[in-house]
Amino acid sequence: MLHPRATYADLVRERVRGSALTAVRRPLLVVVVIGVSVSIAATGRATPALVVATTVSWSYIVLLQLLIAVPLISQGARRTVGLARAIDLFFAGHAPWSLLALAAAVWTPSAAGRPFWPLAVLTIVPILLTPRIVSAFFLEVLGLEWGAARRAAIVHQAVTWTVFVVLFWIVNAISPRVLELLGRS
Amino acid sequence: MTRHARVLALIAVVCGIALSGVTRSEPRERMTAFGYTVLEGDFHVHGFPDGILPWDAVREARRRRLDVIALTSHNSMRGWWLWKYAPSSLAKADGVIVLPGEELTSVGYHMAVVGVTSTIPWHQPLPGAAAAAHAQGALAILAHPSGEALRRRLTEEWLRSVDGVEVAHPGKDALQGTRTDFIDAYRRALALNPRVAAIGSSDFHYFAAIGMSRTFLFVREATPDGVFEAIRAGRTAACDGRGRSYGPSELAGAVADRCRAAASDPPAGDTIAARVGTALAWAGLAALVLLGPSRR
Repeated sequence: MLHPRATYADLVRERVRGSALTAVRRPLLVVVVIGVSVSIAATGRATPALVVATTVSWSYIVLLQLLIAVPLISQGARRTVGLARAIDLFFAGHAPWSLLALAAAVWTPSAAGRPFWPLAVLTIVPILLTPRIVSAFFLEVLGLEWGAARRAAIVHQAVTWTVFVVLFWIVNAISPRVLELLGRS
Repeated sequence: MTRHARVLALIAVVCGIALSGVTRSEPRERMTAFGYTVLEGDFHVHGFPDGILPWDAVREARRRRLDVIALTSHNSMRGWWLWKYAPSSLAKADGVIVLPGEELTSVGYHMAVVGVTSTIPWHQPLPGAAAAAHAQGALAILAHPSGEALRRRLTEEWLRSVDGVEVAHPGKDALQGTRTDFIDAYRRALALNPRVAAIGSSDFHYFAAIGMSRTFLFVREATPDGVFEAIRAGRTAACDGRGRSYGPSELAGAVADRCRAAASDPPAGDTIAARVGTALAWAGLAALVLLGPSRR
């Protein structure tokens, strides 16, 4: 996580051609992490029924990430490690967000006094680390030049943030809140 | 070595999730007082995707010893529609009354509308929105009444138009100013309308437990109509996450012990095995994430 270029360079040297299982295992881990984290945060437990329901319902997060990432990585992946292995390695970069989800699951803000701000501060870590990780992925795994890797990482982050901010905006009815901040009625 | 660690972590996740499901049955007794049946409700529960799936929310409500919940998505009835159109094998109420609702998220105020049949436009001041709710036979509950914007706008007309005020809410104890706002809003509404209901709601999204703040309802019958009638008559007491009750003194006094128990008791059917299992699943997943990608 802290040295993504060295880690990716090391992993790429293995020259593993991935299978379908390779492609799905890490996205699946991310989905399960989200499912278990939401279950624990919401109810304090991770029963089989609850984990299955939350994992399936929240899989749209990972599906959206796949839809955003695959068009950006498929061409380079075919030249280098293959699409399956590229997806696997790309989702390895999800570790900071996965750890944040797991931390949020145990740090549940409550009326008993656990504030929200530590989570908000902790969120800065994956926000800062992810662009570095994505750049390193394009550079080391897909073999792009430095400038091209940075551009690809910027496009990826811009599209990802736009999609998830729009989604959050709609689901949480942000428009009236913004109008309120702007002082309009 | 790392391979063995990954296998162990995976076993921990699977066994942990299985153990989390270990529960025990617990009989449920409803309290009675002053000739009424006392129900416990949460009228501000968000559904997927701003919360968990509604049938899981209902299951959790039962575990938290609630009798009634309202599914209130932001400016939408998503939660209710998911519940209503879910396969009957999933949408099992099992004794919990599930009511349609929305959290009207507007400029300067939020309002939990309970019993609504279609969404209410948010581009309007609170009295208009409350009138639209009443026209549908629904209840208008002023949600988490705090903050500068609401303080500026909270006129007598606004307070007269609501059926209830969320005086107990997980956000109430966040700041002293917030706490004062909630109690002031309820007291002002009560001075204008002695039948305004004291409401406790969790505003459940993902974190605050469902029923963390709750409403005790003194109903003639344990049905949706009985719930609406009790709220319209102001026969309620609100209870916050620290076990403090609010509302008409005789009603708040009658549920004081129950309120304290709701704040401190573990959920129904809780077992040590389930707690250990949950911790195991969490630790196993954290280990899998930290161990990083497999080389093969």
